[in-house]
Parts: sequence; structure tokens; C-alpha cells
Amino acid sequence: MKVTCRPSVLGQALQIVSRAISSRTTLPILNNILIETTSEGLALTATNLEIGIRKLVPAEVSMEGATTAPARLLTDFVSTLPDQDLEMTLDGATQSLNLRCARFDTHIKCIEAEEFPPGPRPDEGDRLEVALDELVSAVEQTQMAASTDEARPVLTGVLVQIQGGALTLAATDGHRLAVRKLAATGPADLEASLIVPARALAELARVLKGEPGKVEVIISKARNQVFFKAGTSELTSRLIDGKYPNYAQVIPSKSSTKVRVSTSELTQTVRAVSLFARDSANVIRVKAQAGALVLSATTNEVGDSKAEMAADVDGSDIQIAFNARYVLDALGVIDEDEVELLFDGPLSPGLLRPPGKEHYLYVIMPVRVAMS
Amino acid sequence: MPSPFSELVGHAQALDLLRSQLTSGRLAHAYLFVGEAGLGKSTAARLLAGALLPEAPLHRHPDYWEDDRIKPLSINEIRLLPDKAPEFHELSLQAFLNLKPAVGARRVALVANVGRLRDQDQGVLLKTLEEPHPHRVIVLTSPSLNPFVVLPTVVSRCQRVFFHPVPAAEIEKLLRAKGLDAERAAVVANLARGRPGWALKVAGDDSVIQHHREWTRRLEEVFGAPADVPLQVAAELDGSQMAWRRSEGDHEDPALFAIASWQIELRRRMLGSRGAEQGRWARLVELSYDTLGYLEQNVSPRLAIETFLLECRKAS
Repeated sequence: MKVTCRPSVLGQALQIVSRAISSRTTLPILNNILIETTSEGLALTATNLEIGIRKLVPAEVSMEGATTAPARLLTDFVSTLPDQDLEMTLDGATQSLNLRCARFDTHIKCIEAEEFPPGPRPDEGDRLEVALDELVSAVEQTQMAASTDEARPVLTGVLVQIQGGALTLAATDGHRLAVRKLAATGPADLEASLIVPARALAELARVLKGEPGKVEVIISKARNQVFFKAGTSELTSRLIDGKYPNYAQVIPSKSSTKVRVSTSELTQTVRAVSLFARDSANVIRVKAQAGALVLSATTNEVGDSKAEMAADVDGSDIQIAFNARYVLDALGVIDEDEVELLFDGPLSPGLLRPPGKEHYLYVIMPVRVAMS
Repeated sequence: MPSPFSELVGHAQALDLLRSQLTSGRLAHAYLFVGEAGLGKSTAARLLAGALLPEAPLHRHPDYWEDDRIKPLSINEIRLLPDKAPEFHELSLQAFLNLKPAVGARRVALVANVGRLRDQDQGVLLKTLEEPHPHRVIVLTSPSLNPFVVLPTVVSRCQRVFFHPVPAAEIEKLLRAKGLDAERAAVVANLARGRPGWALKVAGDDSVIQHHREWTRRLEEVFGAPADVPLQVAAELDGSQMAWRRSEGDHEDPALFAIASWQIELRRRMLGSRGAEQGRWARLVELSYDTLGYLEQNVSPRLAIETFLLECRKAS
């Protein structure tokens, strides 16, 4: 293998790919990055057996080949190089990778590429395209609702549903549910339901950052992996096995009270009032009455706080209580000036969504408390 | 098609069962391979995994998970969402089993010596063993079914496959096939007490033969000697065993090794004698097996060895 590339570009790619490398492993090869020559330059791949990150680096390939190099050493070394042509030559017999750049002449001991765990390529599989910024925001708006409780393993993932040319992301931990729909272009008859580990999706924004506007979502034929491919970057994730619960049945279909309020004002108010709920299970009380929303929290040993804010309230008065963290999580990602809250009694789930829009909804289960 | 288990010796019944399940594709979701260390349980599990995951060698197969360390197994290596990230695995066992197979048709996991997991932590395996996803095969191994080693609730959720000691002749044949000379192969095979894995491990280790000769010499000293000689040998052996218990290595229990060594000598004397003398040696061989039994139970090792050696003293 003999290639020439720019250290700055290679270094950036190495840093992104290294995100799939974990610091501890019984499999030393997983500490390495697979380096392969391709028709488009140099392909870098790393995996932790749950996710895989692959990045293409423009390079002039004089001789084809492949090897695996220690991720940390290579990344640290390349990041220190001056931005002059870097020539990398592999001695196949000794698996020694020679890096020549400016005054540096370095040899790195590598492991054969054949030792790298095999992984399928997205050459075959069903494909659809979505806008990158929309997908990144959809992931942000849903993955925080995924469960961190191991009692129901499927809930630790985000459900990705493909139906009727649209992509729906849903996540729930049994206390709240976040659902985001986004338009996709692809075969209209394509239907799939995948559970992607929330941790894998959390990497999506970092891996695909700076790539052009569209992401190709490729689902392997065996429905066991999903690929997110944009420009020169690609994130692969294994899928969680199991059947995701029918979340649609917990989305309230009717409401007796509709509240419209400023997102920033509500966020600030919930954050302040919830300081007095820290020691009482984080519960804040919400009271909707004509023209106002009253938030309060009490902890006997600490004190209490009450805040009234102007709101557009439509329907009957209501008192309901929620876990403040769940409310703040949604307000933090809703990305709208105003937010709409829908209630249907103190023991029915509350719904939070951008006013007049259907693409995002967030359902929160209320907390049963004695109301004053 | 060659049998995936052709490189294993012995265990015909266990391997026939696995072979037929492999052929019919009707595998259990969880197995518990039972038998003492060195019999070939983990090797059989790896061969089973290799047959189920032919896509790549197991050491780099993304659908294979193994924990075959000697040290205790932390619950963090097992739980889906551990308090601390697993130290020895990329993914915990449950996280691994939770994901769909990557390149193979199945995901296979081997937890050698499941008793390394504390009793209170073994409960975390129950749901995994009871309701695994399809196309998962979990193999646990254990030296025994003792409830202090492996929880009965874990045992009841697995198909049990028993591994018994392999006849010395088969181990000897295996060692000869590996290039050992006949005399050494015979001694090591007899010292192995039916454990081909142990025999292979020590095949090239000269210290094993030296230890064997040393313990044989100590036994010969006991024959016809005053009572303090066997008591001294028993005290020394007890001391070595205490030191062995404190160590963390995977060395052989010195008491078991010494008795195996003595059994070779006693058997040799038994076969080389006639009449009443042969009966005396035969009784000592039998007593040596009783002593092994006592050592497995809660009998003081020193007392058991003293009793045995005092009987040996009277033999000649």
C-alpha cells in the first residue's frame, strides 16, 4: 500500500473514526483503525462491535492495500504533523506502516487487515434519503426519551419506522414518549421497523457533521444493521432485537385544556421552580387557568416556590403534576418560540408539541399528587 | 461433513447430543456444560460456536462473546446497563445478546465457570436464560451443580450436558499424537485424572514429571516408616495446599496432584504383585479414591491425607 494525503484532512477523519474506539477491550484489534485504499482514496473504519464509523479521505493511491493501525497513536501523531504531503507506505511482510512527512520518517507497527472483524457493506439493502439537519434534530428530539432501565431492553433503543415514504423516530422510557416524523424520499412501498441503540444515534450528529445536506439511510437486507451515509462519512449500527411496544395507543387523542405559552419563558420558569422539587421526586405542579399558567413546587424541609406566567389557555381549568426533568428535556429540544400543552384531566397523559404542527409530539405521564 | 468436535477426545455421549442438535438445527437456547476443569467443556463450547459461526474465526467474530478468565466475573460484564462500563468486554453480555447478529445467523456467548459470578449476581442471568431472543445460543460451564457454585434457578433454565473424566488411554493417545514420547505420555495421562485439557497444558512442562517423582519418592519413604514420617508428609502437603488456596493462579491443587501421583505408584505395585500382597495394594488404591472423595467434602484435608498415609505405612 502506498498513498499520499494531507495530514490535516487525515487527522480530522481519524478523530471522527476514533469515536468508535473504546479504551478497554479484550480484542486488541478493536483498538485499531482499518485503513484501506479505495477508488475514492483512503477508507478509515473503526468499530466497537455495536457501531462502526467509516470515513473516506481524499488521497492519491500509488499502490493498493490495507492494514490496521493503532487508532490513538496514529491520530495523535498525524495531528502533530505540518500540513505538507504525507506519504504512507505499508510493508506487507512486516506490517510496518511508514509515514513520511516533512522532517518526519516514522514507522508504526500494524496488524493485518484480515484480523479486523468482518462487517457488511451497504452495497445491498433498501435505501431512502432524508435531510441531514432534520435527521440530526429528530435524533436530538427523541433519543433523550429512550429508557435507561434494563428491565425492557427494547426501550433502550429508538424506534425508526419507515412507512409511506416517511421516517418516524420514537423513543419512550415508560414515563414519557417522544415522536418525530420527517419526510423521506425512497421507495413508497418500503416498510421497515428498526430499533437502533440510542447510544449509536447519539454519535450521528458528530460523525456526519459538515457533510452535505442529505443522508442516505440504508437498511441491510437481513434487517440487522442500518447505515447512515452522508458525503464521505458513514455510521453503521447494529439493531436491537425485539418487538417495540405499540406506542401510538398512549398518545392522547383528545384534550379538555389547551395552553399556548412562550417556550423560553416556560423553560426558565420550570427550571427555577424545580429547584424546590429536587428533594420531592422532582415533581412540579402545573395549574392552567384563564390567561395564566401557574407552576409550583414544594419540599417541606426546603421551602416552596410559585410562579405565574401569562398563557393562552383554552378550555377548562386544570391542575396536574409532572416530573420537571421530563418537561425540561422536551423544552430543550423543541426548537420553537412557542409551545402547546394539551391536558385531559389530572391523571391523563399531557402532550407537548409545537403549535399547529404535527411533526413532533412529546407525551408525559402525570404524577399523582394531592392537589390543593 | 467432518464433525466439528473431531479434535476433542472422550465425551462421546455429550458430543453426540450436540452433534445431533447441530444437524437438526434444534439447539437449546442455553446450555450448562458440567464437569471439572480441564475436561474440555470450553473447548467443546468453542467448537460448537465455531460450527454455528463459520463466517470468521471466533477471536474476531462480531457475533461471538466469551469470558473465560480465571478472576471473578463482575456483574458489570453481564448487565445490559451496568453501573460501570464493562472492563473486559466491548459490550456487556446482555448488551451483546440484545443486538441482532451482525454477520452470522446467530449470536453465541460462552461464560466459562459461571460460578465466578457471585450468587446474588447470578440472578441477573435468569431473564436472559429464560427469554432469549431467537437465534441466540448461550453456553455456561460449571465444575459442578452444587447450589453454592451455580444457582439451581440458573441450572433449571439450561440444558445440562455432562462431561466425565476421559479414560487415561485416550488421553495418552492424544498426547502421543501431539508428539510426546510414550513414557512421558503414559505418566502425564495418568496424572491427568481424566482431564485432557490439563494433560495438554502440562505436556511440555518438565516440572510436572519432577513433582510426580518427588511425591512418589515421599510415598516410598512412608512404607514401613515410623508414624511421624507420614504425619510429616501430610503436614507438608497440607501447607502446600493452604498456599495454593491463597494464590490466584490456575495451578493444580497440590493435594490432588500428589494423590494422583501416588495412585500411579500404588497401581504399579498392585499390578506387579500377586495374592494377598496384591489385595493390600488394591485396598490402598481404593482408599486413595475415598480420600479424593473426602477432599471434595468438608473433611479436613490434613486429616484425610494423614489417615491415608498411615494406612500406606502399614502396607509393606
